[in-house]
Amino acid sequence: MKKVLIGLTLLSLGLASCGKEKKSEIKVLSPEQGKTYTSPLPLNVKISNNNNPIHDIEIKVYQKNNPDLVIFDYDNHVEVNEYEVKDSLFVNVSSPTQFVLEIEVGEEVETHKNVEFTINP
Amino acid sequence: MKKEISLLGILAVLFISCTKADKSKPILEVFTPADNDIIVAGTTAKVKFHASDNNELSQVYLNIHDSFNGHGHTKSTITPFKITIIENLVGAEVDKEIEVFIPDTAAAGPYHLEMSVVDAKANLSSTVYRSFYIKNLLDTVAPTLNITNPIEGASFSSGAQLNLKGDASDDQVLLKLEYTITRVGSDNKLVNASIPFNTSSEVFDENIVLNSTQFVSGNYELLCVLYDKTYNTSFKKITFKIN
Repeated sequence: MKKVLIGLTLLSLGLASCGKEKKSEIKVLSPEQGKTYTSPLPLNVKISNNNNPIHDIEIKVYQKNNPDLVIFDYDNHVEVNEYEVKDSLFVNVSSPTQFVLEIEVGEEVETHKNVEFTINP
Repeated sequence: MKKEISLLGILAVLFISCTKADKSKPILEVFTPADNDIIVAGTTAKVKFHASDNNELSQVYLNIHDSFNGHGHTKSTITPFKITIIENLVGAEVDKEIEVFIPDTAAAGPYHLEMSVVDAKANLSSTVYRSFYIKNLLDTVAPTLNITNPIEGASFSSGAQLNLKGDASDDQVLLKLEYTITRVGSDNKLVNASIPFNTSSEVFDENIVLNSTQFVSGNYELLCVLYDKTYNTSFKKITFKIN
């Protein structure tokens, strides 16, 4: 009986994986992880999904030691398989300051990506 | 032992079906609704389509959701409408019409229809999209928005306060005023907030801090979007400068 149950579980898992919605791919061309920049700097993110439309895109850039200080806030809803966000980051800093770029993409299946970088005065 | 072998057999068949020999995608054509169609809340939307496959169709997936800007709308008796329908298909070629009732509580505004079909070997068609509008006959009158401050072309210092002042009115009841500030030429929402309303005539007076880290010198755009309870909208754009 135990083996039959295990078999049925495997069957359902197998069936589920056949129709599984795949995650989107996020490529961050700028800013790059660990790099240092001065303002203004380019923001360039490419999102793709070969199987499904991308749906929701949320991009935030905030100060690492003060996440409430958001210097870039973007959200969009698209029904396409490829999308590129190209913009610029403008910021006033008096000393080298670390920032986090946080990207969330998708609706039912979400993909996340974080990039940390520094902006110098 | 016999049970184990038969289970392994089923798993093997399943594995083969996942790595299927038939890799042809089914084809989906959607005839109605067309892009930019207007559908009235309280009526039935007819989704007409043709699907075909080299082998056997299995299911059709249909999703309708709002494409309003932003998320997390305020609760109201009128709400953005959304629905997902999955129906079985039989045969290699299907002409079908799915009736989708749009309730009279559906918020007015832009919507997306997203559709795809899958065949018996789990090959998925390309997704077909349509953009259409829902009009709500309970209220077709857009609200009136008047911004008295800031004035077009105003200048501010980085770190200063911007006073957003004005009034709003509607023949029914107002829902909210959403306001965003972006740098001209950018989609970056440096300020993104809303003021809830509950009556047909409202006055607003908000102080917005132009944080000195976020606001460097340049031109910025203040966009105010006023919603009534049926989600009819009016908007005003004001450009200002940070010195």
